[in-house]
Amino acid sequence: MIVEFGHFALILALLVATVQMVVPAAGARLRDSRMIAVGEPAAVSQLLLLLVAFLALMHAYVTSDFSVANVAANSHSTKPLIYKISGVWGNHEGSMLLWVLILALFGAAVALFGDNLPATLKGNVLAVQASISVAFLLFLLLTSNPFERLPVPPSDGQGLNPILQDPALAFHPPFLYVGYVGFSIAFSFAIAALIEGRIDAAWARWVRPWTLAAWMFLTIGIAMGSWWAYYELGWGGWWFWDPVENASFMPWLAGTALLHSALVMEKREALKVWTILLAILTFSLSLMGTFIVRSGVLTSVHSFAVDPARGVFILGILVLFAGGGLLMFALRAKELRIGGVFSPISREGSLVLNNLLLVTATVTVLVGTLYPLVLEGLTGDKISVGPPFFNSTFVPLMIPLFLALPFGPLLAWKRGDWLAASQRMLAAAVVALVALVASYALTERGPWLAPFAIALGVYVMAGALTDWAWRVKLGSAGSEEVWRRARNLPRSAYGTLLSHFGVGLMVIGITATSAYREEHIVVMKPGDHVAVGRYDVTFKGAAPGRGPNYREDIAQFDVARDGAIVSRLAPSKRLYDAPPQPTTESGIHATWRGDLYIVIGDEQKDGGYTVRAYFNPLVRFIWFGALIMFIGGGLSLTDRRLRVGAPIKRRASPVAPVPAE
Amino acid sequence: MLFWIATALMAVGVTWALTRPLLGERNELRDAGDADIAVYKDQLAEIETDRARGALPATEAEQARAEIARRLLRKPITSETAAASSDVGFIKPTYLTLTLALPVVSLALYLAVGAPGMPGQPLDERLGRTVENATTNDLVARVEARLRDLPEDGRGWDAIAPVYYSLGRYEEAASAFATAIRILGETPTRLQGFANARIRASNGIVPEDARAAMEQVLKVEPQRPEPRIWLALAKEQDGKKSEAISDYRALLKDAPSDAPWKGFLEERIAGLEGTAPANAPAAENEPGPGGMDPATIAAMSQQERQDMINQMVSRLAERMKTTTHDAEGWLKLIRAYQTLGRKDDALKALSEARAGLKADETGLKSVNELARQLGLEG
Repeated sequence: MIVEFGHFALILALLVATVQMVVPAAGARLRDSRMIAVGEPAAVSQLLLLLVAFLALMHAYVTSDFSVANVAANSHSTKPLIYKISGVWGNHEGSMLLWVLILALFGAAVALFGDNLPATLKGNVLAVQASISVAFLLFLLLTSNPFERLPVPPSDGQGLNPILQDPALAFHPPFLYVGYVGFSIAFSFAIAALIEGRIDAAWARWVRPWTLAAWMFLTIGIAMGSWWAYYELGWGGWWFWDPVENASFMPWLAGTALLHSALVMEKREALKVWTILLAILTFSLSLMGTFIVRSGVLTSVHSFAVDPARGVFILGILVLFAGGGLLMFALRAKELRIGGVFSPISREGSLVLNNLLLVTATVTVLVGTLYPLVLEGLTGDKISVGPPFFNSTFVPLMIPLFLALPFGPLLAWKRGDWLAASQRMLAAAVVALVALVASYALTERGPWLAPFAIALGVYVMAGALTDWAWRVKLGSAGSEEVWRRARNLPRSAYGTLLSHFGVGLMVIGITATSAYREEHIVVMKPGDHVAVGRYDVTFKGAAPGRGPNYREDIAQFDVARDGAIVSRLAPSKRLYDAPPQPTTESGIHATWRGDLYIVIGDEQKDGGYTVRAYFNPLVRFIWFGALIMFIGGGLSLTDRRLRVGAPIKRRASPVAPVPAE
Repeated sequence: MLFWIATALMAVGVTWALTRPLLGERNELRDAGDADIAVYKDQLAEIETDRARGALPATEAEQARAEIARRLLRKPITSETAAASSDVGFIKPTYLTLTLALPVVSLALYLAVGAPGMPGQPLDERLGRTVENATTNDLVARVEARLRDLPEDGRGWDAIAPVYYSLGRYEEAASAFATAIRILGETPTRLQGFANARIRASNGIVPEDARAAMEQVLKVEPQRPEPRIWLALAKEQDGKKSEAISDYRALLKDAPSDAPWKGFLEERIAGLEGTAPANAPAAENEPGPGGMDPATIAAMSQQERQDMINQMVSRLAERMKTTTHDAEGWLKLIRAYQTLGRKDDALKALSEARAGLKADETGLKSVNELARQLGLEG
């Protein structure tokens, strides 16, 4: 009964979304406050109804109700509870339900917190947001209904793909979806502005924090996915330029650009038209990511939905919203007034450079991702575009981006002083130079360019700190004054500092892991040793074991350093009961200097095991950097002040003042 | 009943919430320009607070104020008094439409796609059902749950194995029979069950372990027909035609006069000896009668048998659409149509076969030969 109640709630949600799409928009057109006001209860009801539907499905999963086809196909009675719950979104239908739930969540947030929005803008935003809901609810009900029933339930379910039975992956999709779907708010605001033909002052105040929130969740979602791939797929890599990864990376790149241009728009009322275009593009890329993953155009670990009807439907949604959005932009953008002017050397100018580089990078990834698909569609040839393509196209774009990155915050709004900023960056450049020399001294092998990349990472980190030091007048004011300034510095400034610092950490981690990784593939018998990095690894043997829903061959390794045992690792090979699929569980000894990473392979005829052992230097920096970026975003988000970016006067007071955030 | 009450409450509640704003008073919309001015005023107030707190030096506060003033000035002087159009009477129709459509359409859609009133069937509840109320699957789930706790319960495995078999879960049936044999020991029934499950799991081919199990059965019950038939079929599959024929003959000799599988044996012998090329049906991709165990076929009613045959023929016909160069398949299909009395289909298949086998001289010859034998040329 609960299941059927959820099904009814889902259908009712479709109707409510339809009302929300039509009535407030009509109200905005007729300037009728009553019709516009329907949007609020509609958005809230839609959220509640979808929540009922989602919880009903979750209930079916938790109680193993195999009379629900979706549960029978994707769950199993012996699965641990956490994977019964995560199983709800571990499949196509359930994950799309989560998608629309999050969409409704953002719509309801606009309804509830958007008091300061002009009424017509709010009505239009809610209507656009609801139109996305309608499209996806139709998609759910017509092609992927999660509430389909089986008259005769099977004795047990088919089980969840074992590689998805993992804590990081259990919560990776919700984060990713909050990120993807969060950009829908920016999209809805952009379309609403185009409908109205004007951009209100409140517009940017709304778009920036919501874009920031979406960006934060996308950042952490992608990082979780990469972390999972690192320890679960068992090849020691952390990023594969897989189309599915790219599908989430493209909206992230565009979203990062959007975040920065929204910043300019909020503070300076400049770059309005560009921000609107970016908002449309970013959400279109999110939709395209959904299309790539959900349509089954790819065959990779992520694509569990292979059904052409669905693919065509999502493609239709993508064309409707991306194409429709861009068409509206083409027709209406000229009616929007261009905002403030600025000189090329200024905070705004640096953010424009940031945007140009990020958008170019997005296009690069887009080409690398779509080209094989298009080629396969046209000629039937299957090619794969891998790391070599991205290394030679994407990476070079990142170098000027990172070189320019620390300059941005140091330049003043409207017109900046490039020379003064360079002088302030001198210290950071010196630190980077030291890092360059040190990396050459410390590493005997590896590509000659790697130390430069490391120095670049150090430069970004030092640059972020420079900005802070300059703002609090470190070194030029008394400690009391520094402390006072440090406390008074807005949280958003600390957000910038942390996020940029995190980028630097990530660059170092990526470079070190890629350039200096050690790899050993050996056949080991019990008692054999292998030296990996600074460690001496001894294979003690392997034995069978049994988990709640799998059997495994579990190996024992003693890891010693300088003769003393520092860790015992137990990598294993699992065979799950339902569905019967093998997985590898790597053994990882994690330290700041790097990870010792061991995977066990097949047993050989002579009783030995194939063992792959890696040392991945500084690999933790990658995810730690992402985490710091996430925290930085959060800090900035809690800074709820109204933001005005005032240009400093040409000949201001002798001591350059701190620009207000 | 409770379900309908809850559903109705939800539909009515949502309808009420959505239509409520329509019943209120119409407010004058704040002009969009006013909203902007409100934002700028907020910002000015914010700057003032920051300055008072000491977070913003006076000079900067001044610059920020100037910046906001500039923005205020940039605002168009003529505020868009896009004139609230007079109430043109959209409210009442909207109200009525929503009040009617929300409950009615949602209910109609639900009745079309949902399963109204179908209760949830959580596993725990199904495990607790009395035997009379339980479905086979419920009982299987119950035994499975028990066997997870007590994996050495041989009687459980013994009980579930034939059920798996009848549900078509042959791999699991074979492993359940094997476990029961390990725990409780060998009996002819378990061994034969294991063999049957293995054969079905391998699409009718007799695998080595099934053969060994049936030889074990014959040591205890040398006259048992089931393993003898399968072992003879296995010989046929191995290409040992004459041995297979003599085994079939021996079986026929021992068979009671009313044995239902006599006809099957005669067919096999005729197939192996006859001029028409014999096809070892058990080795085919699609399970043929040879792939079914004879006991099952015998146990079927006339109607079931007919249905099964029709199904197999249509499957074969389906397959022949893509494998048009397969002479064996065409021969079989034409013969099957003829046997079923579907002469038109047989003639159609004949012409299709001739088209498909143009390049295959021997294939074409045997098709023509068969057509002549069956009197299809006419």
